[in-house]
Amino acid sequence: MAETAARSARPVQVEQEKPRGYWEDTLRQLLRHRVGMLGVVLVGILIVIGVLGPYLAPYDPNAIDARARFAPPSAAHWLGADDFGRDILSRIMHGARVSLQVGAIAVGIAATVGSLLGLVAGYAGRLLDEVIMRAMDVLFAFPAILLAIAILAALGKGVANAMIAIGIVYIPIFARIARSSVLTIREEEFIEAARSCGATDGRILFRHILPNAMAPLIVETTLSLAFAILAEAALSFFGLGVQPPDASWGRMLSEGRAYFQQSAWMALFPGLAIMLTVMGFNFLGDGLRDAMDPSLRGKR
Amino acid sequence: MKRLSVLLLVLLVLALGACSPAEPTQEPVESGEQELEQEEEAAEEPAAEEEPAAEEEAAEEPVVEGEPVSGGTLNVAFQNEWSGLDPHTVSSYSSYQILNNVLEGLTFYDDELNLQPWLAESWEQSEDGLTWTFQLREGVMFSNGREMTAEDVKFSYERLIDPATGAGNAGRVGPPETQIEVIDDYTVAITHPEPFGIFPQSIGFDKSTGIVARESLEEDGTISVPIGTGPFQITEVQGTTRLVLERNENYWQDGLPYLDSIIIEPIPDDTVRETALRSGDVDWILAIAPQNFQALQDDPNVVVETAPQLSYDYIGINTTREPFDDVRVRQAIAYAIDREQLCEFGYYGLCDPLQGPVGMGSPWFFEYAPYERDVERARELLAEAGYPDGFEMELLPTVEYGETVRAAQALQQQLAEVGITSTINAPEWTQWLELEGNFMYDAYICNWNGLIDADQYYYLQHHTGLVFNFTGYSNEDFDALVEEGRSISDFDQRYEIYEQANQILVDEAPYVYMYNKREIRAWAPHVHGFTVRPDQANNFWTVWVEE
Amino acid sequence: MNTRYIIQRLLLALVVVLGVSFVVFLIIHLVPGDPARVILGVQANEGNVAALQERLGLNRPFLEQYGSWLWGVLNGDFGRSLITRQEVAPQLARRLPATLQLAGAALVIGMLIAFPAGIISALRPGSKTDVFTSVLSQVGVAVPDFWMGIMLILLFSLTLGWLPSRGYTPLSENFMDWLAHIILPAATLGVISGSIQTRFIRSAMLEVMNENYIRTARAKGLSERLVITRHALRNAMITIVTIIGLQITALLSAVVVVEVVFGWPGLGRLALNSVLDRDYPLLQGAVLVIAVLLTLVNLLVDLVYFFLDPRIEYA
Repeated sequence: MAETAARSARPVQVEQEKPRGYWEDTLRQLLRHRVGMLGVVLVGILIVIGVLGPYLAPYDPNAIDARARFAPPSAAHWLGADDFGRDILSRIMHGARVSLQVGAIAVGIAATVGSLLGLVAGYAGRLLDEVIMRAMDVLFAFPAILLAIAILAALGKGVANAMIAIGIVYIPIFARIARSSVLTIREEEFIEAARSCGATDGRILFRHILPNAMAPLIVETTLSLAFAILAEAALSFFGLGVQPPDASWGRMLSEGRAYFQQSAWMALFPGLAIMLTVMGFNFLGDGLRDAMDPSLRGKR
Repeated sequence: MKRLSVLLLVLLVLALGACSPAEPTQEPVESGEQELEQEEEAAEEPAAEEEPAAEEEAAEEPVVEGEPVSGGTLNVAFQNEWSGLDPHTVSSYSSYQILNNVLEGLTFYDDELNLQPWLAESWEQSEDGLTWTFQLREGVMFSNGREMTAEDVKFSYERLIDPATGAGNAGRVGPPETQIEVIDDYTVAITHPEPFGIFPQSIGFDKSTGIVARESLEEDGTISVPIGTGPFQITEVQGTTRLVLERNENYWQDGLPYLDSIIIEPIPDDTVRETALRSGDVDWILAIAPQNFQALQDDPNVVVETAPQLSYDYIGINTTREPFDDVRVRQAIAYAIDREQLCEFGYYGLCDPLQGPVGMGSPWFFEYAPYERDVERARELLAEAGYPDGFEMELLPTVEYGETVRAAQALQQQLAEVGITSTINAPEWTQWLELEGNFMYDAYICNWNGLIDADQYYYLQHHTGLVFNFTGYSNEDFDALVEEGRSISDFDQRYEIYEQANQILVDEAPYVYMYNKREIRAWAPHVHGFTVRPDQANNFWTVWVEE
Repeated sequence: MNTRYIIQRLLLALVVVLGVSFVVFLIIHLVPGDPARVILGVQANEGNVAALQERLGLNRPFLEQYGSWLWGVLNGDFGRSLITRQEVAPQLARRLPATLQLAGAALVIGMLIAFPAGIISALRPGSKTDVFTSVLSQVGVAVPDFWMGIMLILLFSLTLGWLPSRGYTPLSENFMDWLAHIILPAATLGVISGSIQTRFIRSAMLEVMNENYIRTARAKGLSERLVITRHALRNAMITIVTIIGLQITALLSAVVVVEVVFGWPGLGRLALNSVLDRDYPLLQGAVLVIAVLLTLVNLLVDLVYFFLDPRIEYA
């Protein structure tokens, strides 16, 4: 996530259309935004656990232990153990990586492909615009979860394919946002100026338009990360996504639901992990939106 | 403003109420601990704990029950949605479990699994063993009021064995060349190209051999709602979300069925289905999750009963693929697994470990059990086969049957201990069938259900090239034995034959058997007269409800 | 807004709907797995699979199958389910109202939560009420829908015994029964949807409240209530309508999970099962209906824009 944002921010610093201090300003605004900072902290924790989780986890997350079956939270198993006696804390730590991957890759696909399509559509206009945007409408006219399930069925199960499926589902959102940004920016003076200096379409699109359409896309990226985490959980509910015995939060929550009355901890902690992460991304998105451009508020 | 704040307050309270169950409330956790202890006890000696309980209830009930009352409606929740109702093309249990109450065969296995005359009153085999002649019961009416005759038997059987129908169960009646001849209205003769000694048994197993009225056929040659002679008729089908059975007023058994109607709806989620029963929304549920067995048994508003299934859960090994074409590799897997643990993790101990296909409850049980867990022996066999360091393989359970996915996870760890590294691929049913049906797997995990006669345990699954032989197993001696076994009728003679066949099969291990599960059904205390059958049939005509 | 614009929109919508049907057809044929095998189950083998495919017309070329399906639909024939052999059209007709009722009730519950909560927090940004509402709405957004549904069932059906855990009674049969059955699934969707809407309504209101004319109105001494209803809410409406439009879209997608959890006989569950069974006539029908619905909602949103703000121009 942080990577995506950092990478996409880079060209802006090279370009000079916005005042030099714009991104520093944004950062300062964000640091002052309480909710936004809470988001930064929560997302930060996710990233740390996602990266270091496998080294921090007290147990092998897939190791079956008949003696620890349904063990409630205790000193040995801080968050309890599941129906196979596997340590829930360790599984959550490993699951953090899955969530991080699902989020980053799914949203990465959606943001890259979607923004690109939106940019091209908005910039080219006419027939190409019509074709691309109607294709996006087609994708958008499916119930998202059905589309994801159908794509997943076509690609075969597995976490990698789940990421692709979720990614495809979110492409139209990015395309629409990118396109509408382009439509407003296209007519600005500095674009005219660049064109009169003989800049190619590609150069105008990627060096002039894209950086200026970035703000809403970044906000959408953070918000989509939250949705991607929830989408993984929904796919797990239908038994798709990560393959057993590997842990993902959605899978743990979905499996744990059958035991809620006997061993509530099995579903409770992965549920909390999902909730805190989703909230983290949403807080961060809110913070970024307020920090970057107040006029963006309420566009979603 | 004030009104707004009040409204907001109310809404917030509502929202709080809605969100709070996600937090750990005190109550469920406490009861969870209790149940955990009980579950552990149950886990240690599953059979000892349940059986007396079940018998106790059975012994008590008749006293409490009193006389059956006619009338009323039973609300029934299935687990899975049915896949069609044409008895000649479906194979899913959820479809058969509906058809159990709609169609009847010439013969029928009663609750004790004894073969009874049903639509036929008697039958005899010709001298040469090729022809079976059935004397039909007179005055049996289809639910549409027309009398069933030999013509209907001919129609049903011929449609089943017609290769164009594509029926998976055609073999129950015989090969496509089988001749079905109407002698008079109440006499029908079936002639097979080879002697078929267990034909009366074969047509009593499931409803693919039920007698269907020709009027069920639609213009395009399909059957969406079959008309039968059974105690109930299908009067309403809403896709696969709701199906209504109403009593067949023309039913031939006097006084039966008791119920006026049965409403069947599928509820896939275990928690929701069980809650529906506990809160009184439905009267009877088809399946409960094994992990909740204890909790439901402790609930005074729920009656839970079990019966050992006539089934086996097994690992099917692809004998057409390296390294599984080597019998030593398959045996190594059979030695590597800990069946007790698989049963515990896969089905919460509501099962018995199994080394051959047939469970102890069946008259066809054989005491041949060479594979006690032996990690050393498994390693030796792997080394002999040329895999001293093991190999990598994929396990193929299906999410359709949760226990196969759970067993696979325990299996993974057990195989790792002998050096076999395995990954799990658990697709949904449709995809699983495709992979399994086309030899696109290393080892799949599944189960066979509703097996009554020995023939069903051995013939179609393992005879060279036959329809259900998905492992590619082939052995001439075995083939000869199971062919002979189905051509004769005498039990003792057949027992000897199948004992030999069983030994060959277990030794060569195209299937590695894991466990024999118990069938679980649960219903509300006001429901009476239901018997949990080992073959998983749900027969509702003796069921009645208290006011 | 003129008729030409509407006709143009409708024509484009038709293209989109056709595209949807083609994409479904394509995906479902790319997916491994065969309806014939689903019907035959474990008993499938080369011979009977081929026989059944022949009988169901599954071995015809892809485009021919699509063509004949499309021709059928244009003639009002949606075909038959491959699995149950039942006609598709009556099933769609029976399930569409169930889904619409569920999504509609959820939308109402969502709005009943979101409007008061969003407006009140926007009036006093940073106040305790605001923080409280924000946190709650964040929680609501972050709970997976199937989880929320199961928790509601455990609380209201099992523990309290107030409401039925699942099932459906048609509205025409018995209103009270219908109401009792719809509350839990609609609340599951409604609480989540309401939480999302709360956040948007709050920011839309905040933005408007900072505008000059609100300050002017206040300075004129108008009552707070008039300021909110006459000026602020009205001007925030454009954004809010957009959000509601998006929410309807989101609800028609979210019903899939909730219909499965609550055994609600709606289109989402039908579509899901037909994906799993590769029952494409049924899937095609269901997706077609949903796509038409979504397209209509979008069109409706545009129309509402026009009435709310006649300044909006349509090219």
